[in-house]
Formats: sequence, structure tokens, C-alpha cells
Amino acid sequence: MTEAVHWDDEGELLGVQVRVRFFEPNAFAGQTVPLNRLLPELGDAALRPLAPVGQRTTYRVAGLQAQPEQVLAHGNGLLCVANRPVDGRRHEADQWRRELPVVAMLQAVATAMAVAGELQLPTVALWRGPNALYQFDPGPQVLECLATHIGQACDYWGEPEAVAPAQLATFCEPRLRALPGLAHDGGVALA
Amino acid sequence: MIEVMLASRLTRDGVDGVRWVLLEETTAARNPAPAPAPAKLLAEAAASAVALPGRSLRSVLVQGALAWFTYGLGLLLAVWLAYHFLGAPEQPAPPPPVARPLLAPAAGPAARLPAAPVPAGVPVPMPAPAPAAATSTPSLSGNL
Repeated sequence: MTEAVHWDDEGELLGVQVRVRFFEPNAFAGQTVPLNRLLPELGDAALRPLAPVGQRTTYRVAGLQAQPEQVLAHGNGLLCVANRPVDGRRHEADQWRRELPVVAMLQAVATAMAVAGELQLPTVALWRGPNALYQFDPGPQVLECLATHIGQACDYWGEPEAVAPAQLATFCEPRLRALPGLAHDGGVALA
Repeated sequence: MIEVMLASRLTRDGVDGVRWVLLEETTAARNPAPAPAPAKLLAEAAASAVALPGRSLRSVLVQGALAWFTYGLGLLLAVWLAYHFLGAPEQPAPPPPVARPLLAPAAGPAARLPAAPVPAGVPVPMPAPAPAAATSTPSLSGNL
């Protein structure tokens, strides 16, 4: 049994188990924080980027097309990092449940679904905020909602070929809130 | 159906706790429907314009451009037809034809006097006969 990575906090948000680690962005002088600096217990050699730094690769599966910021190979699986900060506000350690945009969380999960579907490897969904790194573990209801609404989202957004994770997340967010048991889990509605 | 594996936990050596989900191939991208009849297409377009308020900006712009292009084409056709059949608008209209009398005045003022009754036995003055030279055919040649 391998040892799990330590996180600063953990909680459930709209059917997704969220784990968060906070960091100080000023320590990296405005540069994009390398993932192995945020998670030093993984080690430098454990993470292998699939594309050069700064180059984004398009992943597509079943009408879902994504361009994650970074995809790294880690042991038997992949780490998919999405970085779409809605604003530059810092997330506080005791307020992150209300500060984390739900659409950004669902977008990160949908992006990981596209990567996992194309590369056929188990993938972890990560989202890098201004001063926090989030890891999402979506429950069955969230996965089913995202998986079954791709076609409807394509029709809604007028995209005949493929829909982007942000579009799918915006389409599914009110439907997830309407599900019983998930409506009062908090989170920012729409950024 | 496409299998998708999302890992639920990150470990030092890899990922753990795989969740499975199946994605269905989108029918719109993989199996394009046959082209419907034009009337049906127009009806569906009108219905979609009502039913989908969140249409993309691109489709709205394309429809607007097509509408204005159609209007412009119709206007150009109308102007060309008017120019072809009616002429240029700045050309002056031809003057109206002068009405010519069907019968020219045959005689002088005497002819227009009202006829008076003539008593019996009174000779009616007749106009003098024209001189013979006057009845001769004028000629450009002659003897001096």
C-alpha cells in the first residue's frame, strides 16, 4: 500500500471530495509554480511532463475536447492540471469552501475526463489557484452527470463537433445543484 | 462507449482508487443526419431560434450577414430592373406630342359668315374666276 500525499484540508463540495494544499505564491517570483515544488513528497523524478513547458496539447474523447495546462505522467497514472484562475484573489485556509468556484472544479474534472479517455490511463484532476492546489475526487453522481450531458451541451452551445470543459461545466452545474443531497454543499455558484 | 478512468487519490508512487465512467459517442459528430428538405430546414431553424436563447455569437452573426446580403441583392435587382425598363432617373422626360387638327381651315373669313337667305330673282354674286395664268403650272424655265 503506497502512502497518500498529505493535504492541508479536505471536504466535500457538490458531490466532489476536494483536497487542498496552500502555498505562498510570492516565493516563486511570479513564475508558474512547478508541481513538484507544491508536492515535494512526490520527488523530482516521479513527474514526467507529456508535453514541453508552455505547449498545450489537445485531448478529445466523445465530443469533449480539452487543452489542459499540463499533463504529467506519475507512476501508473496521470496528473491533469487545469489553471484557469477566475480572479487573482487568494484563497484563505478557512474560507476555501466558499471561495472555490464550482464551475472551475467541474471544468477540471471534465478536463481530466478528456485526458483519461484519450490516453486510457487513470487520471487525477488538479486545479491550481492563486495560492492553493486542489485535487478533486468526483463522486458517481458528478461523473454520471458530466458523462451523460456532453451531447446536450454540444447542442446548447451550438458546437456540432465538441464541447469545451468550461462549457460542459457551466451546463452541468445547475443540474448538479438540483440533485437531492448535493444542493447545500456550498461553493461559489458561477464565477 | 468509451471507458474513462479517474483516479481518486494521489500517492507518492502513482495514483490510486480508480473510478470508471462510460462516455457515449456523440451522435452529432459521428453520425451526421441526412440533409432535410429546405422547408423543413427553415422550420427547424425558426424553432431553434426560439428554443435556444443561448445560441453562439457566430451563428447569430452569420444569420445577420446572410439576411443583409439577401436584402442588398433584392435592392440591386430592383434598381437594375427600373433602370433597364424606365431609363436613368436624371434623363428629362420627352415633351408631349402637339395635337394636330384633323381639318385645316378651308376658306377665309367669308366662308365663316353665316349664310343669309337670298331673295328670288337676285343674282348671287359669284367670285371671279382665277386668271388662266394663275392656273398654269408654274415652271422654273421660260422665255424672256
